[in-house]
Amino acid sequence: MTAVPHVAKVDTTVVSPDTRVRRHSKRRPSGEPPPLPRAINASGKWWLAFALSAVALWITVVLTRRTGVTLDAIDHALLERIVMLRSAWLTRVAKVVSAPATGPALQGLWLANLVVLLFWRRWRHLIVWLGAGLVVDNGTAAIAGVIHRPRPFGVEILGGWTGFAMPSLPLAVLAAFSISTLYSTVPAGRPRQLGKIVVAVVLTLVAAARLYLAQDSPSDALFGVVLGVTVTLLAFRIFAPNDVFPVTYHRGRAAHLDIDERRHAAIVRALEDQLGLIAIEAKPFGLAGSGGSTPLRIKVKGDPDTYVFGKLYAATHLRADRWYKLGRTLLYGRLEDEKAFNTVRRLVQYEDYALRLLHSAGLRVPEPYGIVELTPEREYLLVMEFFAGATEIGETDIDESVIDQGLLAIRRMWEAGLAHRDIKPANLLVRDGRLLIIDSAFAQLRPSPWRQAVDLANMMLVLALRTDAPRVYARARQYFDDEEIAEAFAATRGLTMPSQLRRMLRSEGRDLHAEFITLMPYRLHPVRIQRWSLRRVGLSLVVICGGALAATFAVQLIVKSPL
Amino acid sequence: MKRLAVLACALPLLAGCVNVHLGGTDAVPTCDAGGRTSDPYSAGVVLMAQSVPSASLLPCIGALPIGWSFHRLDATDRSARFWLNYDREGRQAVRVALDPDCDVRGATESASEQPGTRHYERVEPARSGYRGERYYVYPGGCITYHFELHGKTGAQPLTAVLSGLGFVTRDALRQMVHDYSDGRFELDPTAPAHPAPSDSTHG
Repeated sequence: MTAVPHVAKVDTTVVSPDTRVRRHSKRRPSGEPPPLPRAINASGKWWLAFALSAVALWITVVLTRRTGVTLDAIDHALLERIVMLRSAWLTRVAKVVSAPATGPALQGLWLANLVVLLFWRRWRHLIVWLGAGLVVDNGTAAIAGVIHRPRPFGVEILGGWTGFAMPSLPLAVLAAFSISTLYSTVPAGRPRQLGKIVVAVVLTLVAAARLYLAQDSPSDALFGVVLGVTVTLLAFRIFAPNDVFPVTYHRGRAAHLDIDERRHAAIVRALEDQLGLIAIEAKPFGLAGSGGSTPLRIKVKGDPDTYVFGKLYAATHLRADRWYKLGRTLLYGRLEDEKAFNTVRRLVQYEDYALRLLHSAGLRVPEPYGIVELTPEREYLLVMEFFAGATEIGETDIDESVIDQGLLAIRRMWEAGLAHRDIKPANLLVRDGRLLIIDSAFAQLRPSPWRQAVDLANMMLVLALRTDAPRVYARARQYFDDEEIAEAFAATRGLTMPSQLRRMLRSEGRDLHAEFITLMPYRLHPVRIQRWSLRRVGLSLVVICGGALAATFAVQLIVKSPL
Repeated sequence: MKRLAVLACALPLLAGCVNVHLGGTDAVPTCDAGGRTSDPYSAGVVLMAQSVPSASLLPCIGALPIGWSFHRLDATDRSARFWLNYDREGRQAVRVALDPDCDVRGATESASEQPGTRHYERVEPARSGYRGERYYVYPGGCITYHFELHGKTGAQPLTAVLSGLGFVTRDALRQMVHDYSDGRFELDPTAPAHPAPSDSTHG
């Protein structure tokens, strides 16, 4: 690269009159729960206690004869009383009522769930569904194989059965599938509360019918239900908590989190405790332009009240980032030289760091205020200045000053050894004739020269969208030499542009890239985008083999009865 | 995320477990009481008795010769089966089935060493090894031994394994359950709603 012929002095002042009321931040004492604690809830604890009691009883039954005899005698006494109620019509009713705990019915329930979860692309729920179902299925069969309890003694069994009796496999699987259905397809709140009542009624009726038919003893039925409910409930509350993976049926990006009452309260508390900001309200803001986080506009107390901007990150965003990077590696190879983040904390720390670097480099980016922890290692809020009154560059007229500011921002990043890597209209705002840059999520320190060149070309394309290529090119030559501009356009095409920029170029019906190329005194060969590496080959093989394995596994799960 | 990845990787493994164990148990149907000190009876034999409530005779395992081992037991409300493995000539070399009745067409009747039963044999042609069935038919039930040996020794190993297989009468089992419960409950309903079929064989 050659020296810049003339670099205008850039105003690095960030207008941020701090009128907010600040309190001293507070250290959370050891042992005090975080603002948004992980929760298995009181019901989860009760079910866990029931399950542990059942396990203790099973161990006692296996080790001591007396406990087994007593349990058998109690079950027999209860079952004899139930059997005394038998009549021809009641038997017919009981056979119908017990139908949900049969192989075909359970398979139907599973397949219906599979269709719903695939249609709504609720992968996390699907995996937890499967995991919990398989654990309950295998766990129950394994426990029954250890306890070796025969079917009820001394009564005629009127229904079908398979294998040993304790715990009841059909009831355990029915309970597990019902709870999984509830937690993966029914939205939290009133619908789910009603669903719980329905599940409780269904389980009670089916268990009663199976007792009537003497397919199970009372304790077999009880422990089957306890095992099925406990494992599934805990699985969903631990691996797919509603706070992070809500069940919704409105269209929108899956990565966005619901700002429900609990989370809102946690945000308010965390902002006050950790940053000393007194938040009045936190509302989702600009969701359409954000796929990697849940953006929030937070009103904070002051004189007058002002706003700060928050980006909420959770495991779901980490997963989105991971899949995005894996996809790019598979499609293009060593294009970005980037690795996925391991934890949410690291993801947020990185973005905060990148924002601070950009800010200290004199770029007009939001002033960073810090990170707020809602749930350790699971949910964080990145807080920064809110650009009130700013307009997206694609929706406003721009003059030469704004063009200069855009080009200078790239020059400034080059000098600071930074790349923004997501230069697109949604990330360039204009307020009072000043160009503001937002979203440092993809920013990189010491990027490849290729990536820096792409930033320049993308900036020129965005600026030309609202003006024209000759004007932008003429201004660019004030700050970059011909070789740098030629390299930028040799590096940029198709997928190296953010998708929003590509869409807008298409909708404008102008081939701005070609227009810039024609303006250049010479052109360079396009930089090859497809890069092969051992990692790409290995990952591709793993994905293909994993896909084949998953397909085999899926077919087996679809075809086979859960019982 | 790591936990979920581990869970996702474990799913096929869990599914594999379903294949292996679903419906099967490791309760060896021994001819005497169960293997554990707390077992007053063989739970496997009781389960088979519950599978075919009309069966007055139940198959069981005595002392298996060296090389033979119990594989698994499947019992449902219609029938029960267990398998034996032979370490030299194949897994599931012997399958013992208990059914309310069985089809003995094409089998040859011979003198039965088990009182109260009729004995039939059927040998199927096999390129190597031995393949065939032995039936013990009695009122209320039928026990089938199915042999499938793949080695070159033909039917030789059968003599040894047959000595390890035996029978328990339902009456003896009833007594075991009665003793276990101190008379508080019995193996079978005291007044069965449906009588056992009078003729349980075909052919």
